[in-house]
This record gives sequence, structure tokens and C-alpha cells, in this order.
Amino acid sequence: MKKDEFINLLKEVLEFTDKNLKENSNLKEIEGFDSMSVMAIIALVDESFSKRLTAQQLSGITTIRSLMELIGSEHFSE
Amino acid sequence: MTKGPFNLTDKNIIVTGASSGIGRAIAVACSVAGANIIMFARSEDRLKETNSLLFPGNHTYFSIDLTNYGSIEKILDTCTYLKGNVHGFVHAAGAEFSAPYNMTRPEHYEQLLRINVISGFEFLRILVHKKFIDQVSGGSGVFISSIRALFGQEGSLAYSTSKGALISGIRTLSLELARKKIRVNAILPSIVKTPMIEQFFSTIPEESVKAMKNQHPLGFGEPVDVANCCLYLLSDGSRWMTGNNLILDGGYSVR
Repeated sequence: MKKDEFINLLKEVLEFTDKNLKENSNLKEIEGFDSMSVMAIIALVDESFSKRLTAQQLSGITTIRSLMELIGSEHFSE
Repeated sequence: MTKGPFNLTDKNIIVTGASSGIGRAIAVACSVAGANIIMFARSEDRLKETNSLLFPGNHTYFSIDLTNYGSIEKILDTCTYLKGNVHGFVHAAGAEFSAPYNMTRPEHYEQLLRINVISGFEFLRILVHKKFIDQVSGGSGVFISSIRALFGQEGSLAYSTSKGALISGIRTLSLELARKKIRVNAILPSIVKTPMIEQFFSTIPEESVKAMKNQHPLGFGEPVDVANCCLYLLSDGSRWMTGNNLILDGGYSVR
């Protein structure tokens, strides 16, 4: 999946209004990021990559880039 | 000495989802109360494990995908010894799906409705229609619903929909089956420590789990707590109870 495509999916699923979401945006600093966002990311990653993350694993991520690294860089292209 | 109204001596009880969690605890508790258990679930290995935990009796188990509805009837047709001899049916088989509303797709509702609701109602229909349950002495059907049928929880849309469908359905079933002396009730547990709830907990931050625990004055439940409630509903001690939702939540809904 293209990185931009993933970022757009994240925006849609997390219902973020920030239009300038970038690879280096810190997810946890975005207004509205909460426990439901964690659950939404887990569901999105499961649906898109058939990979089951846990909330504990997500507690370690900060930026969208770190989330993509957790999912596996091999899944993404420029 | 009388055995009292709550024993299940020599009764034949069918338990779906007996391979783990609440279903397993119910199978064990019923065997301790004197019943013979007929267990249905997908995993043969885990059914074997449950079987090894039961008190001695005439127990048996079948590995089956309950959402393949036709296979329920096929298996029951091989159990001729159960004709007219099933006294209780417990539908504890179930699945969970956690996601926000915008990640909940039609297939998620369908999967959960198939296993949590339809397979249980279909199983009971066959038991009644084919007269596995004696229609003079009657019997008891127990469906494991959830507190989520009555109280909302973020991320539980498909799950709470399915558990709500169960409690709506049992009201109609209880009316239609009362004339055959078959009672139908639901248990609505809140959070019970099972492998399924561990899966749910893995999708939410630790602080949220702690907050949930604080909402339960008596803490989270154990599978045996649901099993004990189930014993009551299966026994003659609850012979005047039907169409009911028994809330079992460690005080969660009291506030």
C-alpha cells in the first residue's frame, strides 16, 4: 500500500479533521486521539494487512511512521 | 434425603461452546450437579479437554461448526438415545468483534448473528421439532447473552446487536414454547474473565481495562459465576421462570 493511501485511510477511520497529517505527525498529540482511536487502528490494520496488533504494542508508537514500522515497512511504498 | 430443587441428577444437558470459557464452566458445573453433558463446539482437542474435567457421567461431545446449520440436525439424528430425553439446552457458543462503528462491516454483524443467535435458536428449534425435549415433562433453554444487550459500550456495535437480538428472541420463544412446558431464559453477564474477554482487552489501553474494573463493585466475574446462574435456570428450582433476562454483573448496572 502507498504511504499516502494509508495516511488517508487513517484520517478517515480516526475521523481526524487535521488535513495536514504527515508521516512524522505524532498520533497521540492529535486532538481526539483516545482509546477508541487505538481500537480503530487495530481494526484497520487487521482489515488492511491481516495483522493483529494489540493495544499494548500501540502504546509504544508515536508518529504515523512508527505505526507503519510496527505494521512492517515491507507493506508500504512511496 | 431429598436432593432438593437445584440438582440435575440424571438429566441430559446440551451445551454449545463447551470447549472454553463460560461454556466449559457450565459443562463442568452441570456434571457436578449430576447431569450427563452433550457438548458441541468447533475444536475437538479443547472439547476433549473439557470432557476430562467433567465429573463422571454419560458424557459425549461433537466437533461441529454450529453456523453450518444443517450439520446440527445430522448429528442429532445419530443421537437416538436422546429422543425425548433432553432436559436442558445451553447456548454458550459465541464470538466477539471489537471495532468502532465506522470499521464495523455487514459481514461482522452477519458472522456474530450466525454464531451468537441463529445457531442457538436453530438448535433449540430442532430439539423441540424432533421431540428431543419431552413435551410433557418439558425442559429449559438458556442463552448466554450479555450486559451489552442493555448497556452500551464503545466498540461493541456488532456484538451488542447480536446479544440484544438474543434477548428479544427469547421473549417470543418463551411464549411459543410455554405450552410445551419448555422454559427459555437468558443470562446477561458483564465482564467475565475468559479467553474471549482477553481478546477484547487486547484492543483497548490498560487504563481503560482498569476503568472498566472500577465500574464493577464486585470486580470482574469468573466463568463459574455464570455457570452457577445457569444451574438455577436449568433446574426445577426455576420452573416458574421464563422469558427472563437474568443480569449477572457484579453490580455494574446498579448505579
